[in-house]
Amino acid sequence: MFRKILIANRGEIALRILRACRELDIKSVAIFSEADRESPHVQLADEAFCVGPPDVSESYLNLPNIISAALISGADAIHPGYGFLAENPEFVEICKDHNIVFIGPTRETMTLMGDKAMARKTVIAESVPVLPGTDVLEEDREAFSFARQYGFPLIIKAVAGGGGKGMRIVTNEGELRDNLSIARMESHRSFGDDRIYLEKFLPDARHIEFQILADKLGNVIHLGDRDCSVQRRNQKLIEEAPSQVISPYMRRKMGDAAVRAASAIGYHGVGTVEFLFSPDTSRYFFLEMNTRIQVEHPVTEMVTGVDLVREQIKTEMDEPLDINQRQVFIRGHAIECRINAEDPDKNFMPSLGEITRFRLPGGPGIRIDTHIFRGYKVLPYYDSLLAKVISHGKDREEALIRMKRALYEIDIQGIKTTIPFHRQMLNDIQFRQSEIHTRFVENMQESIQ
Amino acid sequence: MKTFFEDKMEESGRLIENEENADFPEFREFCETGLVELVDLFCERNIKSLETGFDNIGIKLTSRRDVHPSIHTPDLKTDTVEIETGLDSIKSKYLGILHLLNEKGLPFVNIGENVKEGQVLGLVETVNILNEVKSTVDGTLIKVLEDDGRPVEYGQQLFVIETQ
Repeated sequence: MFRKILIANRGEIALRILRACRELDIKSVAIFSEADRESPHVQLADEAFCVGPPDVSESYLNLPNIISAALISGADAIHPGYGFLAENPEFVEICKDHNIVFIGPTRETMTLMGDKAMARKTVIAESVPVLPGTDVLEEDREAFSFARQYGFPLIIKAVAGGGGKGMRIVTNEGELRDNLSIARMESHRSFGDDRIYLEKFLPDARHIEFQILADKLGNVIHLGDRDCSVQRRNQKLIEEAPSQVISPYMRRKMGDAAVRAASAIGYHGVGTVEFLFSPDTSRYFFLEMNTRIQVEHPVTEMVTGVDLVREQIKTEMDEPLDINQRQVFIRGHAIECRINAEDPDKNFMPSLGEITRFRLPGGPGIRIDTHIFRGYKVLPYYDSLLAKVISHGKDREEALIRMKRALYEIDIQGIKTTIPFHRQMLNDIQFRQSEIHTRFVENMQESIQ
Repeated sequence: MKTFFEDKMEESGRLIENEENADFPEFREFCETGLVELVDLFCERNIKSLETGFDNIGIKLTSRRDVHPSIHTPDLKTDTVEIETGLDSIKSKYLGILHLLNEKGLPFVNIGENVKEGQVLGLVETVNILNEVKSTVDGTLIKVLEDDGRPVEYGQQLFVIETQ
């Protein structure tokens, strides 16, 4: 049983974890940078420590100060949230060295799934389908012979990449030649690892992921799927559960595959197995597994009624799951719109400044996860996510109606946000009919320009 | 060095009207027994302000916090000290335990002593590593804002130096 958890994050996810702690009657310790002193996660925590200046590398990634805060406050465990230290195997080891529980997977599983090439191999062994792809590229000519065999388009991926970073789509030999070295350089710069590989690219596919929940006793279940096909440069903007394009049969099949992948590596806690799904052929392919709580987890919470963060903490305390696969029911439909501090008219350029007006939507079927307030300053150091607006209804139509109303009610002034983009999407015939794919937003932008 | 009482009072944001009253024996007795309890209750219940008294002594407690839930940062003094001209404050760059005494058990610098820029004023122990807190100015140490052995956070003011 944990008595105290340190939350090594900021923003809406820090608040989300705080709320779970309070419901579990576990004391919370917040950390913050000098820029976040007024943030609600600092005010609502039982204790709070300033760990550094606004710059992330000296505050939210400042390992000595974060561990020191945990030791001084007597925290039993650290919850990393998403981003920052959530997928850093070295941090897992450091926590262990100081007898602090890291709420997340083991170092070994994290390293395995963090290496995209290794992850591919692991799931292939469990007969989970993957797209045709190469091993780690030793020489460029391997890439060209793969291209001749499978044809274009292809996608170059960084072995250390993930979360939409470190990918390049190429449509001909010239582009492939140019992009191989750039991809290596980019990967080296972003992840300190220049290994890359190639995969066949599916242009009109949908991004469908399965939420995994597992305890330390080997019970692994999935809590259904999320459709995250509305993306821009591989960054998700709208997520829904359940997907409208997969049949109950496919859902079972893909869910089973996700559970197999997680079981094979002895996974525990919450995780997400991502697939690409081709509606034309009804085939699915493993993309990657995320070994953390995800931004879009609330849509699953809305349709299953399971508090994922609470379950994540409970499994870390060695508690067994209190439901099995047959007790998982999907009720209605949920949609999440990410409200980012970005200007949709200027190619989603980050927008900085102070929020001068802030009105929250509410009412039936609406949930808001946010850390912002009037007077909040959007700074360049942090992620542009301001709020998650989540709607839930008895079916997709009702969830859409509620989301449309919520987007009418919400008002954020002082900076540019993605609210106008979401309002436009909610009126789009194709989106309303769920005829979308992962390049839908890019195509839409091109057609406007 | 601050007493536990002073510490507690500062934490909750105190305001004692007339400090000379501390000479009254009843007040002393009250300080030793009831006051700590009173302050604890004050913090616990998130009371905004409270006035009480007995005989000719009045006590007024006011909270500077306006957020009601929970008790925030019970162990740290996050309030910044206003620094007048001619004074400079030295802040902690680390989060950890403050050490004001050297291996001989003596203060690195005594109050009233002159310090040089770069001189070590104390140590902050962060995960078994002792980080030096150095003066950034030449001057005289006039105040130490935190006690030896107490946790300090990043950016917390630790020492006040008179610069001219």
